Amino acid sequence: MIQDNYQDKYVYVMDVLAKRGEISEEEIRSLPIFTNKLESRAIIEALKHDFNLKIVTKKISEWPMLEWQKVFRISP
Amino acid sequence: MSGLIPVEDLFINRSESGTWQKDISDSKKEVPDTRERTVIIDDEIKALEKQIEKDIERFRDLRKNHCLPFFIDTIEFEVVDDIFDALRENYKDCDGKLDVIIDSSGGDIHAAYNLAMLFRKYGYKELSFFVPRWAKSAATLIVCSGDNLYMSPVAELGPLDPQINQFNPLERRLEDFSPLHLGATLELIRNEFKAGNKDLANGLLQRLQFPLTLGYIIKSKEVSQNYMCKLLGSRLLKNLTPNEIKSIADKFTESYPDHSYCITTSELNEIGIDVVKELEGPELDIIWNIYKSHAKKQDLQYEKNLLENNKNPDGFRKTGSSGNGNKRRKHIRKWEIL
Repeated sequence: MIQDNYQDKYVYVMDVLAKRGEISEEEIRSLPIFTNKLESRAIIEALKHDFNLKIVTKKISEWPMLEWQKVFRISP
Repeated sequence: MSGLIPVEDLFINRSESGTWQKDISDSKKEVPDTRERTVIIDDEIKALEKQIEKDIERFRDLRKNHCLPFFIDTIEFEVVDDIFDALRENYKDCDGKLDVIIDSSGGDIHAAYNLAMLFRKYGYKELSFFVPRWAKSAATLIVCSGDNLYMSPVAELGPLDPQINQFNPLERRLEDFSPLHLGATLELIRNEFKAGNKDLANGLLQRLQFPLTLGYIIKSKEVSQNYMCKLLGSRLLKNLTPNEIKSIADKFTESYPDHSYCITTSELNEIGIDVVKELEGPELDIIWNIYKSHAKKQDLQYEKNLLENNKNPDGFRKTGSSGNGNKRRKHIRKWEIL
């Protein structure tokens, strides 16, 4: 739930997203401002809703051990 | 994690100019061992990557089959393209026997079905899945597409009831639910109405979503049943009758009380999938090593991200790398239906 105590964190992430145009899920989650995973997840979902974000799964490592990360982009 | 800034010190304030910024008064204190620790982490990650490659090679030699490790948190549309590219490039000489080591919490059911069909093309003679720890939700569908299923003693599959994650814009909160919950909710409203509590029943009804959306959510359950029947009946359980297959598929989509329910080898045997084998010996050793090395690598990358976030004035690392800690400890339950 985006309660008052989450609002500042929400605005902070939103500001960075607006400035950079894209941000990965890992980048958001690894911010030390989040005390638990539910917080970051709630903010991600709120951003997805409010910004009409495009979500892209990007491959970040090659065979034999492929790895991916989810990136949120502001839709043009 | 010594040297990290306490969360309360990272609280964000609006400055007089109206821009948002962190109060980083304490974070300006130089953490003496940050750079050294980052270097150590990088070295450890490289060593783990080498170890994983070596273990994959060992597994290939042991099994005499091509082997694809498939470790992913959430299976999405784009992943199909990447796996297709990897197979086209690196498995040209595949002789129809493919081993897939899978660890995933699920994802998009349609992408999972597509991947299952792709794995079948490369493993047209024999397709085997190895689960070190878990293949939940949509990943359960994938492992049911092979000829063989091997699980470690602690491996688990999960139910296939679709999960709906959506943001409730009015209440500003996340809603996680399954079509099974909708049935229970309607039953609750019906009972309240029958008991004469019409105001309560009406109040609950008004909070429900648009009826077409509800119908769509309930209907989504059939998608997973359909995919499951198709896959189970054509390879893993090809000796069973269509009715027996349907009964097993129904169990996966309807019978379990929670989406996180732990389905182990003994549970699989009980519901009629008795072809699943428990891993042991050197195969178990190697699979478990790969799993542990990968988990350790994720933890290190998460620690590195935290260190870099603390160093970076705007709170974000500049370059992308994977890792948000050991993701398998949470369970993303996401079939993006809405």
